[in-house]
Amino acid sequence: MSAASKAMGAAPRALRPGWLLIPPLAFLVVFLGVPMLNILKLSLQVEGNWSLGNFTRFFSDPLYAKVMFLTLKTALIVTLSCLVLGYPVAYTMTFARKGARGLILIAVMIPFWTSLLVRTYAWMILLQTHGLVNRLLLDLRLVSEPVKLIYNSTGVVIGMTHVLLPYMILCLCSSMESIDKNLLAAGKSLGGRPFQVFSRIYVPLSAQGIASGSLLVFIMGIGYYITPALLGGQQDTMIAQLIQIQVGDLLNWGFASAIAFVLLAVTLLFLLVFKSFIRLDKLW
Amino acid sequence: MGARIQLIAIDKKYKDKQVVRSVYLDVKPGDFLTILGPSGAGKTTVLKILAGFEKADQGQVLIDGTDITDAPPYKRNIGMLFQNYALFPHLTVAENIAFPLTVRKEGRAEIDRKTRAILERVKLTGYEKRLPRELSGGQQQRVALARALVFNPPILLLDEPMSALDKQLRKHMQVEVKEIVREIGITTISVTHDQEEALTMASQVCVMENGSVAQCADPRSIYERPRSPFIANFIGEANLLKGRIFEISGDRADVALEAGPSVRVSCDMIFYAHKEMVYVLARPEKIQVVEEPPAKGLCLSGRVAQIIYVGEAIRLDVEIESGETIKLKMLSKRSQEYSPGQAVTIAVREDDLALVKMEDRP
Repeated sequence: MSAASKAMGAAPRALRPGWLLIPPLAFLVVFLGVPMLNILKLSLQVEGNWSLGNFTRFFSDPLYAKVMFLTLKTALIVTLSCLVLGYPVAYTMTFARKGARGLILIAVMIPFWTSLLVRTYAWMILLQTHGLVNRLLLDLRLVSEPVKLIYNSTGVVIGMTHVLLPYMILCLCSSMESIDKNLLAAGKSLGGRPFQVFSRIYVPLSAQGIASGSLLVFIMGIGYYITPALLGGQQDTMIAQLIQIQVGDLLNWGFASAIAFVLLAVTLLFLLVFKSFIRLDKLW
Repeated sequence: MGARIQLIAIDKKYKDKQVVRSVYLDVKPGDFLTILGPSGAGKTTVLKILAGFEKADQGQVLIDGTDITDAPPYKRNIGMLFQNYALFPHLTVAENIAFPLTVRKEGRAEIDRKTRAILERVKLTGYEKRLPRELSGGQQQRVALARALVFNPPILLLDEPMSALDKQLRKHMQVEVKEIVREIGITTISVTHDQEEALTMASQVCVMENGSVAQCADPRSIYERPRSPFIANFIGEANLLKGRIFEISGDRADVALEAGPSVRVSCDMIFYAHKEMVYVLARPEKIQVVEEPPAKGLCLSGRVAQIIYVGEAIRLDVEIESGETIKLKMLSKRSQEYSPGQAVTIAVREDDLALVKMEDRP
């Protein structure tokens, strides 16, 4: 690029948009940065003295490792269910005509716009022992007695999948839309059967969307609170609930802060690992 | 090696628009047919129907006499070079080329052998491990061509093959692609709106207009004996002079031009009638500035209206007495000096004139 065209491309000094970042940055510093530092301070104190006690407690008690493992397991199952359910939807949407595509998008977005609490309560009604789902299963004679769908990990997975599915679909869509349809035509003209073209060309080319959607759902899943709290049982406590118990019931703010930081560390770790596979700037 | 391709009475409608109407084509084995036409003429649709991406509303597609009208693309065994090459961005050059072989479940050794052979043919040995985005436009085109040929299809389709290349490379690749397909002997159908490309590459040119075939012939006939004013103007530049046939006999017609003089033009008698209004075609490079009016052929006098120097040639616009402008093109020589307003006499040899029907279709 020549010097002249470079100069044309850059905004004049007065219009450089850097200063536009100042308000949101200030907001983040005041309402996120400072509280985070406070939490960090709290986590490093036991009864007013500086100590690593909170962290050693977390890592020495197998109960917390178990909760951590369960949290990661649940997030993984939810991620996989979102992928399995979301991929066909995103695929259909990319190939649908404008009108149908708008309808699918609205269907995907409506739950997105509905309050999380409302949706979770709705699932409680649907999934309870004498709820609609069990009624249907019984009437269709698929089961002889009500299935336990709520207050266990099944309920948690169903609820979380429903909440997180739109994120997966939107990620998949944005990467699928960038796939040149000519490549599929080329694959067919070269002798590839529809399934071969799908598995050898389409899926690899949508890998970016699969990776970014999975990462997003997984990371959001690790920190989930309301859905597991309302739809899960005693055995299905996730890490966010653990924090809530420490804060709300046991008033152990220091330990709660330590758990929160472990959760943050785990999240960052996953981001770092995934960063080598995908480009984070393409997340949306 | 190459197969015969026949299109029989192909019709195709998109919504209310008839994009292809009653197209017949018969391409002999090993021929290079170029379908030429302005955008919207239906040429790409014809190609898609051949490849199997679109289904004709009516008509048949035959390859070596076998009806493949309803066969899906992957069963047709037709190689296709896409406009933007459609190389798989996640696969290397070698993997791209091997794709048609792997989906046909050929053995590893066989795939390697064929891939290596075709890479050599398109002069890309050593590029096996590159990704498409690491290649130049010309190299990408070679990979796409190799991929379309590696499975030995009897037919090759080219969709605007040169449109993504710059002018220099385009000329080079035209010759190279033509040479490769000629060596292999594969029947080739190319679609383009670039008339120069059509004349350079094809052994047969088929001009399409509004969904129909306007003329199908070898490049020379198309250029020298276009069947309609549209074709005359679409391929090369044309001076069309209006006139009326006042005498027709054997293979000659005498035409009284509205511009004044009468000329004798060779023609095919069965297409023309006595007293018919026609155009007389004179290509710009066939017209000369003369000192003395020749005994035969067309001769007109006029004034130079415009002179355009285009390097190897000079283009003159000459306004003749009737007010029409005649375009001339001649090689530029040092001695030639023209100035606007200068009176000149221009002449065309009888053999260099052709008759063109006034209506597009008889």
